[in-house]
Amino acid sequence: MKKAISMLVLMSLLLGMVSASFAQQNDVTCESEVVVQVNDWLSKIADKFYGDPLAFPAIAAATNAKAAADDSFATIENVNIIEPGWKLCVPGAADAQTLLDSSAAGVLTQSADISCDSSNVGKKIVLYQQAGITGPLAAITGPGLINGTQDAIKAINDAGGICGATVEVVFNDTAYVAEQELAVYEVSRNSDPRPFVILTYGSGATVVLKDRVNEDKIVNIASGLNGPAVYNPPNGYTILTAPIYSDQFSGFIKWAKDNWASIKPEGAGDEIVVGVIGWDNAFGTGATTDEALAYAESIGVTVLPLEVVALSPTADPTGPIQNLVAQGANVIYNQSLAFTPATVIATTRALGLWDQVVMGGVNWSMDNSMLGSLGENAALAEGYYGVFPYLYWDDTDQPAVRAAQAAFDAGGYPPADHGVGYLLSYASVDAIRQAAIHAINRDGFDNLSGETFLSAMEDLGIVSAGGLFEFNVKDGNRAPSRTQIRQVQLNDAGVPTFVAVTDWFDLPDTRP
Amino acid sequence: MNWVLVPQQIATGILNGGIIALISLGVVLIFKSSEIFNFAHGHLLMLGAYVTWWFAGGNQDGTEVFNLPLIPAFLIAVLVAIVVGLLIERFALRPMTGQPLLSIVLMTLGLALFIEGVVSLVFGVQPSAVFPSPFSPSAVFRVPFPGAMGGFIILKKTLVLSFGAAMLASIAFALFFNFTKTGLAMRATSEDHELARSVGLNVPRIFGLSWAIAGVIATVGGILLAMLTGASLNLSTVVLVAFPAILLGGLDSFLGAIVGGITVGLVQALVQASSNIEVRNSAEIAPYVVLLIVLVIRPEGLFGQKRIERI
Amino acid sequence: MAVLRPSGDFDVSYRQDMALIRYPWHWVLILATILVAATAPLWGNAYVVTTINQIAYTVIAVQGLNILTGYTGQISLGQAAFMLVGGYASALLATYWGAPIWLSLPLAALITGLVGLIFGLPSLRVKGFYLAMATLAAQFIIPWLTRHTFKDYLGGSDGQISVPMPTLGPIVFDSAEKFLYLSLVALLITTVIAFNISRTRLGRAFVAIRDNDLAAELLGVNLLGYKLRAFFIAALFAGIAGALRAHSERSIGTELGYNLNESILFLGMLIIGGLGTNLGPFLGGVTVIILDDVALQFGQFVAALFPAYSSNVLTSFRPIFFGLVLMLFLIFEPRGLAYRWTLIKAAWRLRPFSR
Repeated sequence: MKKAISMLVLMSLLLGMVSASFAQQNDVTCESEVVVQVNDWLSKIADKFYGDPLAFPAIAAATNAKAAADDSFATIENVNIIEPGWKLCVPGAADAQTLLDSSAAGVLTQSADISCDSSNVGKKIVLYQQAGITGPLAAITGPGLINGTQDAIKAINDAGGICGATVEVVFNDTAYVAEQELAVYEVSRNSDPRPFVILTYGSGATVVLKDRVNEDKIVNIASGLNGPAVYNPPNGYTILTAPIYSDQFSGFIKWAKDNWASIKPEGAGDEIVVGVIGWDNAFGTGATTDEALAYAESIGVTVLPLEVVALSPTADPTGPIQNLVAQGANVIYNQSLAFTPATVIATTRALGLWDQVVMGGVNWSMDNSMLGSLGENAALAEGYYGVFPYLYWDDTDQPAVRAAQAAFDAGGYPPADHGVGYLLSYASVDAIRQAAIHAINRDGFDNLSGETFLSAMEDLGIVSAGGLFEFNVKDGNRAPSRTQIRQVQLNDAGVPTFVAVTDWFDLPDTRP
Repeated sequence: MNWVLVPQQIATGILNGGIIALISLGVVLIFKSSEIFNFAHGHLLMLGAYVTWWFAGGNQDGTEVFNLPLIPAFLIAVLVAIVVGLLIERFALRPMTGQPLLSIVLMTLGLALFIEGVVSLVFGVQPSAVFPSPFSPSAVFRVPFPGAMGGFIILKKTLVLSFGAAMLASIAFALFFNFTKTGLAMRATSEDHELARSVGLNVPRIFGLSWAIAGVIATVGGILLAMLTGASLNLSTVVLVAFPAILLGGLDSFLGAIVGGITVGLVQALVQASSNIEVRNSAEIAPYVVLLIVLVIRPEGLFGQKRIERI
Repeated sequence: MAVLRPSGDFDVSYRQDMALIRYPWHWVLILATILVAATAPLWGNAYVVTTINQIAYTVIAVQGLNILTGYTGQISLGQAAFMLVGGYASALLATYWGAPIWLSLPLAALITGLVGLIFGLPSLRVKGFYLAMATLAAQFIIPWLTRHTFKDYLGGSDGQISVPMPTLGPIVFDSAEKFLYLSLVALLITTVIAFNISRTRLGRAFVAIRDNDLAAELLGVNLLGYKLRAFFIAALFAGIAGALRAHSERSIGTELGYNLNESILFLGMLIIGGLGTNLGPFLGGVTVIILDDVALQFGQFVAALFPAYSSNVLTSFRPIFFGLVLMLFLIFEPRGLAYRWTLIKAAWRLRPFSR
């Protein structure tokens, strides 16, 4: 543990140096200089100068770049907090656009265009995907994950496949029953040739398959972000698409602690008391691990015992919410997804407690499926915070998102599928492509196996998933460790969108 | 006990209990008329919710065939439910006449699977939250109540509506079974099929009728639930909460179903007012614990008929 | 059954009347089945082996249910929860005491049996649906207890703990191929027990209770005593099945199922196979598990035919297919496959005069 921490410190130091040098190279010219007045905030200034409140990161980036050379400029550590009297640098519109592109793109590794050393036309690469398109969690993944995978594969095949080989995917429904996950896995692992990678989507699958994939040496690209299963033993074959739940939770309370002054509900004290509402299963308890609780204690945040809500759309969370508030909770963290955060939001509003708490949750809780569960009343979610370790459909300025959107439109899928399920599946395939090409270049097509695939991923370290998120397989990592925090905000048309309120930041390390 | 939460939980419990009572009514109805314990009731309920949703314009994404207001959509769904009920009776249960109890129960389970499959084939597995509801989920009545948290208790308008509908439906059924000829005929049939036949009652017709009515009750319940949560495949699981309610009240008593439903709602809500976290987390099984206790004390349920057995 | 025996085939001694294996071809059939199953690793791929494994422990659970529901007439909706108890018991014994499988399996079965006794107690006062609901309560309460009590040992809300691979002396059962023999031996033992129960005093008392409990009581059958015995045996079998499943899946807990659906599925297998027959659990278990796999494979085939609706077809095919098969089965074969088997035997014998 200690070793891991010092490693992390070292890493962040290195990263800091890199970003600092990056900033100095950038020669930013300020079109105008602004001194912060009382009641100013960044997006307000951005709105004034560019007519786009979302352009604020450009000002922050430009100011920070200037501050490196010129002390008179302020250094903006947190885009939510600017103080009156600070001098800001507002770049010209064109410069701002470049900055925006680079600041957004710069944090996420872009997908690499690795070329192949060999041609394997006529050969086949088969991916195995197992998930529940029936069962309770289907609300979030649904058919989206199948369609996302298939569309991404189609795009790859249209572009000549992976080193000439055609990619195929075999999907099996597991209804998110762990026994079924095992049964389906048994079928997949006995296929000929043995699969080198499978894609799974539930905590149950991550947990029950972890030993199997290690023994069988099959990489499991998993979206069930259960930390203990992935790092026990370390260096296993399970690789996660998003940060483990305990990291996410710790990151969220760290962010809440750092920004308490600006986000705290009216009348709330300085002490942060976090209540967690979650499902009564491996996913629901995934956030509040011993390590995460220890971290919370170390930064002086109180975490109340987990309140359980049944995994059913008809479950009434009135009791848990009132219990938490009665115990003094001023932050409520949802470790659930789709209908449960939706009912928690609606009920908290109904109880008139919405203004007394900061409401947020795990990455899956902040998704189209949650808004969809609120239906016509999606606007109720306004103000909800979520850990957000990937780009989203709202980021239409990102080419990666536009590509996914084009594929989605071409498929003609219903709006209900326009969620994170499609996006992650679509993106994951691209990461598989890069790692597979690297493995094929290094070890030859016929040696493409789980073992070579994993070591190829480790070689690459950070593997971009279509520019939408990044896999982190560096230094024993098995899950990404960076995220943004986003908030549900209504756009001009009154439609809820997920707006980034932080830059990408490193999550606390709560690996078991 | 966390007393400050108790008033609110009692209110929520009673309101939620109303819906459970309505669901229980449908199961009791079938049991009373044909001695069949209908495990597919939850799925009929889900079907009713989806049919209403579809006629009311579905996801409102431009692909809708119909776009009716809630009430006409509901009426059409009721018609569909009647037809479905009749079809189920004719093609699934009539061939089972004379088969052992267990086989018939299993038949309703097979039916449940089949309905789930058909619904997911036709409507897809994605929950459909765009459900025409007269109220927003956060629309509430605030009732000042000293001693409650914040000095008031809230009643979700949707819950109040469904509670009222459940109570109305229950009264309607009580009247129907006690004062109309058809209702009396149904009760007579449940007592003894052969005797009912011998006095000139058309027993198959009465079975069909009771399935049709059960379909309607299920549809009403499904719509009320869907107003709260949207239409989804998970709606069918709500019947698992209704089972203890039915048994608590006694399998063959309408009054029992209502009292049982409200009891279960209350029990589930009240455990959540406990100050012990583990007790709070037991809301899921609390009805079953109460059920076990009641079964040991009064095996026929609170309102069930005590049957005297002779050889 | 006796009705369907060929004319001229009489039992001339008590021993013969009680014999389980009556004709040489019984031996042939039994040995052939065992041989086919035991040589599966040679002729089938790992998938086949896993499936046979799964069939073996499922049949054991259904055999237990058969004794309770088929012979004694007490509907149980809690068999899967009792499997959970057995799985946990064996896993904990093996993890903390290092108990070898020959010790942990019977002990786990015994513990499960005792738990079964507790939930059998209401059977004194309630019957029919009310009893079914009491067992349904077990199906909800037991899994809840595994998630909320003794969290350090039972895994808490994680809903699972990992289970060590069973050992027997120097042998470690670390692959489906090896595990198969463990399951088959267990199945053989439980089958012998089940067959013997049905023809002894115990089994006759069970049947008497099923057919008319008041009459049975008048005849001197201690109702509570025998009902509890039935519950005990049913849970015992479930315990064995659960322990086998836990060790072969290498984890145990509520995340791995053991839910109401499975309990219902066991009832379904029993009815499809034939309630109250010794052959029923085998026929039902094999049929349902194979049907389920067929539904899975066939669903993908059908989905490929309708690419535009593939996801809807994929999700819906299995419940539709399975529900339809179950319903048709109940309508056209209500007495189960075991009855059909006796009819086939009779038809074969009476050939060419059979209908």
